[in-house]
Amino acid sequence: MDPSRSITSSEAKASLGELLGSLTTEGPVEITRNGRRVAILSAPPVRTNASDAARLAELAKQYAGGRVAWREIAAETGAGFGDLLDELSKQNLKLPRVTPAKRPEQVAMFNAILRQAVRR
Amino acid sequence: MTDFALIVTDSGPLITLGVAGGLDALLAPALPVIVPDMVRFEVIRDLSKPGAQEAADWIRSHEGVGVRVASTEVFEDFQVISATRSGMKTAGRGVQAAAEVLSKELARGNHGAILLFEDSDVRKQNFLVRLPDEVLVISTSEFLFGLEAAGLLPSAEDILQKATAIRGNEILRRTVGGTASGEMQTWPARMQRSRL
Repeated sequence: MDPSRSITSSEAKASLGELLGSLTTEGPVEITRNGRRVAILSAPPVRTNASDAARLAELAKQYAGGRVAWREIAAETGAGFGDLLDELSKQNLKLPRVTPAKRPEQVAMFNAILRQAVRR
Repeated sequence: MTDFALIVTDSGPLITLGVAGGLDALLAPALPVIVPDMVRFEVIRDLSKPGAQEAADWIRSHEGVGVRVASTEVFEDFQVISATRSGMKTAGRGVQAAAEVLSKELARGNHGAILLFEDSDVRKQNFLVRLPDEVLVISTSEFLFGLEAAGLLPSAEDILQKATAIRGNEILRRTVGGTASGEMQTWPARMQRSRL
């Protein structure tokens, strides 16, 4: 685990309460002493029980078949998208592929952006 | 000439590309990549999740160099509320934050955007035809295949397959976690005008 923020041990000592409160909103934090990493403070991983896992397994099948959206799965199970990818892997299922409806102007815009990128 | 940006609307595309080792594909269109702070939080909330560490590292290493993490009121509100309620759900807030970012981008005038969605979610959005011409909604797979067709990516299929490739014991160590909510996001009025 490699946190995206870092503080010194002195700062951690002075603001531990605030630091603990920030773990669920800002993610893990690295604590350093004399410029060297000495600890990583992190909220505990959220775990679900076997029935939740079974439900995610069932929803992954529906997701791969295009019958349920990721947002709906997240709302029901609380799983992360990486968990869903794992479930798809375990069941040898594939990501659904979707092409949203677009107007010709929007398609032209995307193609123009890509052409410009190719020229760079 | 319109200036465009690529706005990542939720953690799905970042996690998919993170797991597949294909995050640099986001830079291929040579557009500024904007990750709303709420979306970044969805990614970094639990770095033990598949793809999370890779996505977090990629954002951090590219921030200021092609990638911008945009501050949003959606995330500010989330932080305030979650300070008093543990286990706050996040699903849906990423898209709300992306809508806020898009609104600000469009308000600057002469700006357009590509909104990158996770595939299954984009199918559920019925607002697509109401977006202005300078805003394009695109799914992760469609984005990758577009890059491939333009010669900017060797193989979209390769990336998508890697995202769900069997990862053996790594998978067994994972546990289901995170939080969610089913809130629908509200798009800026500027986006809801129809040109049809």
